[in-house]
Amino acid sequence: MSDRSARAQDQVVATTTERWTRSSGLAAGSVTALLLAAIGLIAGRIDIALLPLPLVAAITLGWDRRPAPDERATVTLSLTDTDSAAVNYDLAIATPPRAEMIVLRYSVLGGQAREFVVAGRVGSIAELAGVVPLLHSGPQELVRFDYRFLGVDAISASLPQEPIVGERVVPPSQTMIDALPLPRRLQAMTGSHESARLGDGGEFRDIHPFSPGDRLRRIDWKATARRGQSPGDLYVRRSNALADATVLIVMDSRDDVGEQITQWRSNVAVDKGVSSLDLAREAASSIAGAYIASGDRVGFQDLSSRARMIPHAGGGRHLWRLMKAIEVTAPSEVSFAHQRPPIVPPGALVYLLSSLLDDQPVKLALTWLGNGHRVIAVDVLPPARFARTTRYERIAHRMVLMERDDRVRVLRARGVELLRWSEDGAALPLPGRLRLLSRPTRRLGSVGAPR
Amino acid sequence: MRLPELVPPSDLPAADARIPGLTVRAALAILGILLTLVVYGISGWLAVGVIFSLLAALAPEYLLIWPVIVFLALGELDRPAGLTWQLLALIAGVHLLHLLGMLALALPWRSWLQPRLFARPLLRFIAIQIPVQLLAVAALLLFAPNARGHRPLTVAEFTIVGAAALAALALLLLRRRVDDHA
Repeated sequence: MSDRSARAQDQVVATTTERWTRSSGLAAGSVTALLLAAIGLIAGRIDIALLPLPLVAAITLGWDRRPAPDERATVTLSLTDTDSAAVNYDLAIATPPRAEMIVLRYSVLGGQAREFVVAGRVGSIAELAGVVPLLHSGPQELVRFDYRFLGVDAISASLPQEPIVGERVVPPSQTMIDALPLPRRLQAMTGSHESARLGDGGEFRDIHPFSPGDRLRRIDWKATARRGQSPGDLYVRRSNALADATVLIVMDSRDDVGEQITQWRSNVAVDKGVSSLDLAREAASSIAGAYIASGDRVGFQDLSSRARMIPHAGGGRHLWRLMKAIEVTAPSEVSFAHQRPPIVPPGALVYLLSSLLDDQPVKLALTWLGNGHRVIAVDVLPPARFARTTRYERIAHRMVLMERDDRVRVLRARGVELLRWSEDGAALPLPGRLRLLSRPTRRLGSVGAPR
Repeated sequence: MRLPELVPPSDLPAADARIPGLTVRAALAILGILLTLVVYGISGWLAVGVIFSLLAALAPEYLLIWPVIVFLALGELDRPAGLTWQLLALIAGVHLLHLLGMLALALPWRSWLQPRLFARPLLRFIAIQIPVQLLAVAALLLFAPNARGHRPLTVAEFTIVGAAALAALALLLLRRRVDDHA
């Protein structure tokens, strides 16, 4: 029974009162000793009567030194960051006074559990330390220890307690983005991007005859002197307005598949390689960071949870909020049952981060596209690795990818732009692909289009 | 059932657990077979001892090692009581079988064990065996019928010896309790 469990930053402490059970071997040994004594007595054989003596002595000694029912143990798990991408853990166990052995079952990153039995001397502290590599971003269980204690000669064993678990939320890595794709319409009145509207702050646009409403300081006297046909003719220099972009990042975190095809079913963190959610978190945090840095407004929505929707805003504090929301994204059992697609701010650019393994994101992307938004589908499916796959698994994978290719073709045909995030032998590196996407498009009302 | 790797995992270095948990069960089976060989020799009963010892090691939860101990004691009935190395080995072996049986019940077979885990059980084993072996030698010299014509153990003698042993044990335990409370 755990009566106190406190977590202070990187330390998990559990103090437990142990409940003990007796080994069935105790009864078996006692019955055997009695039986041997009876045989020796009935047969009148001193040699047989001597056989139960060590059994009786061992059982009596073990019984005499059995743990008391109220003995307590304190288990402390400490996690410490290292310089490299790893975390040191240290398990300290203050054993119950009469426990002689500690049976530990531990697993790292949800991998195969291993069992150790270590000597827990009376009243001593057994310290176990190790290193866990940080293989993934997001919330994760780094190390889990189940433990129980054994008394003298394993006559008594404590009942298993709640496991002690070391967890971390690992922030995703970020990629520098220097070219930012923009929405079809930039709507706000200030910002760092040049919009198609006339206004202040942007590049020179043209020389235009003065019209009511033009500011007097915009009159270009040289152009007026050169072009003016009559004394009343005035010419003004016109420039483009600056505006900021509204971006909505939608993360499809319903599934998390790794590089290793064999792990798509079991999804063990230590074996699956880089996962789709690793890439999605990296992409989302990189995109959010780049847009916020350029003064734009960014919103975030996690498809597997309505609670995590963050409305679009700008600034450093909002970026911190976005990063925290992105860090904690994880596959959840919440089914995506939205009857209507998430609300997208008018004129926003939508990034849909998905592995595109089902039709739902395709429907969403097409809906937003139909509403006039520019939609960029960021493909976060990691490149496949086929180590230890069976023929059937390879065939199944090929079929899944064929369906996925169909979805990609539909998206492209309807005008959704596609950005593959992982570098898996693509002709262009990621910055180049982003630069291609950030070139102005020649559509009515798009950036750079004539008014 | 997959056998565990026989190389100790290196990702928990502080544990220094180098002995596979299977060792306890293997020792249990080997000791059971050796004692059967000592008691019964090469005979049909050896097969019974081998089978039971292997089953006891494979599935210790069925508590088969204690029937093996009874089986060994019954085999001893076939031989005349006397001070022989086989009997002394049997007394030590039966004790060890009991200890290994208890450990096999409690320790997971896939686990890895610290070598110093066995230090305290081994010390207790020696601490029990020294007086028991001395007592066995003395008892066999005094009571065994083939030792220079002494008569076999009677009920009265056995009762006296047993009562004395119990009294000594009770005294020992009471002293421990008094020490604990103090």
